[in-house]
Amino acid sequence: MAKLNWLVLGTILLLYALPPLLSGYWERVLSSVFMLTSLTYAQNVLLGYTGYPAFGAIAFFGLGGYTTAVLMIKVGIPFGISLILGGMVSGLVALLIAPPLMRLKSHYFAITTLALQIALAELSANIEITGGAYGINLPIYKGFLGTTIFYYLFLSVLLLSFLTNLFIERSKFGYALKAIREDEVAAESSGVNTVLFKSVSFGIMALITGLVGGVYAYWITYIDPESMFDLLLSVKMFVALLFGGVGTVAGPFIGAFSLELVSELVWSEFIEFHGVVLGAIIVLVILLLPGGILKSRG
Amino acid sequence: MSLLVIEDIHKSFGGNKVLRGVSFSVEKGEILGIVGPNGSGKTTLINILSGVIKPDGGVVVFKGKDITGWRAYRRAKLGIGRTYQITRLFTNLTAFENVMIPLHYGAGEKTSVRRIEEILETVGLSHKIHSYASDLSLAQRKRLELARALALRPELLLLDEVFAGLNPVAVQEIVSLIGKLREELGITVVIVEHVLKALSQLADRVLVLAEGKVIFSGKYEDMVRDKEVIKAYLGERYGETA
Repeated sequence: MAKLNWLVLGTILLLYALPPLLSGYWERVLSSVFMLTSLTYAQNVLLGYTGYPAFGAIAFFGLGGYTTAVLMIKVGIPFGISLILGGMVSGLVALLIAPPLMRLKSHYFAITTLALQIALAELSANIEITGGAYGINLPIYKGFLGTTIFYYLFLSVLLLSFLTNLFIERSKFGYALKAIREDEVAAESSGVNTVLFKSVSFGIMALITGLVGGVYAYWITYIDPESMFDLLLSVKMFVALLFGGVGTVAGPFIGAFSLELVSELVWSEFIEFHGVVLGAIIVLVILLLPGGILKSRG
Repeated sequence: MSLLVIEDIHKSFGGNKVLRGVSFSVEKGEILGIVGPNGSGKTTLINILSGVIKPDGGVVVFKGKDITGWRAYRRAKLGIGRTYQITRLFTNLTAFENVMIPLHYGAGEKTSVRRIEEILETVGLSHKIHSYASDLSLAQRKRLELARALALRPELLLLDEVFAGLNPVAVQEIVSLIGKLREELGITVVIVEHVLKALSQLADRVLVLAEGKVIFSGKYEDMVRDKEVIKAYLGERYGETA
């Protein structure tokens, strides 16, 4: 298993050298692959290592994206700083709501995060600063590297999220999360401050998800509630995670890459049946690969 | 000074008054047995002592500190270890990892392989160090849970029906293990148990709970003759078939 992790790291580093060889089309395809992979890694921190499924994690994708966009357009802060602030706002909000929210477990927790996602979508559609249902137009990026910058940004968030997972897999910090995943009551009576650790885990998930949302907002240059709080993205992220292997370091990479590449190559031929194929894959994964391609002990 | 003092503990679940003013104290190095019929509040009491649930009223004092409002992880750090009636191991982690977590987070010790081996050796599980908890037998799981509690370097060990489901040989092994822990490490033990034979060998003192109240406190030999205990717990025919 450890060898596979280094292979994934090597692949990520190699991908940094790839852009000169890529057409604009492939650059965009890979960018969206990196995006989904990062989101999957973020969810793996929470579901894979801590045992909490945030089905509405895309709430933080939207929060990060909108914060970045609002800071850029309404406040006039440069993109780089807005992006980091967007991620931080997302992470901090998660950290603050975690203690009450994470009294809930499994499907109750999952549904409540979904409610958060829907509430934030409604909020952004109805207040002025986010442009309401019209959304926000962002300027087209024309600086250093041109649009290739987004390839590197997504790849860098992917690298960050991968390293976070690797750290959790191997560190004492990670063992606190795994103890919570295995048995929260027993974790607490083993001296683990469960409220603190699960909140931090939720915050890390939201930070990464928010950063991805921020890059996405500037990449597509136009955001509205529908695109930033997209339910299908939540579903895809979970399918990728289940497909690759929950609670493993290499799993999210394998799951998200295969899912997104298959989606790009095959489903573009069946635009009408996109949802049907996705549904069929979910059913097949659950029936045939209940632990994912890489089965962890968790 | 007593190691543990609890005073006038009350706890209700909905309209069900499980504990109605329980008070007792435990001296350092003592082994205290708690018995009582099903539903008499034994496990609730252990949960209140370990911080898993909060009492509605009353005080818990450990090592002279009022820990009534403390969360379980702080009590663990302070030196209260426990096991569960139905084992609650980190099942998808190895025995090594199960012990490493409380050693690091509870006792705040360096987690060397040697130290973890030593703890597993104490409970006779060092040969299973790399086995997953889910692959262990029930007796081994109970031992591992004991090892996990010992990794906290506890001064007080709370054992909730540690003998339940074990065969007589395994019961005897754990009886001598608990005796050894007291002798060698000076650990104070509170043990909730239905296996009276095991208690008769271990407990310095027995407390009988019935309907949320302490109805007897004293030596095991006196307990089995106590009229109220016979009526509430043992039954008139106790001893005839044993």
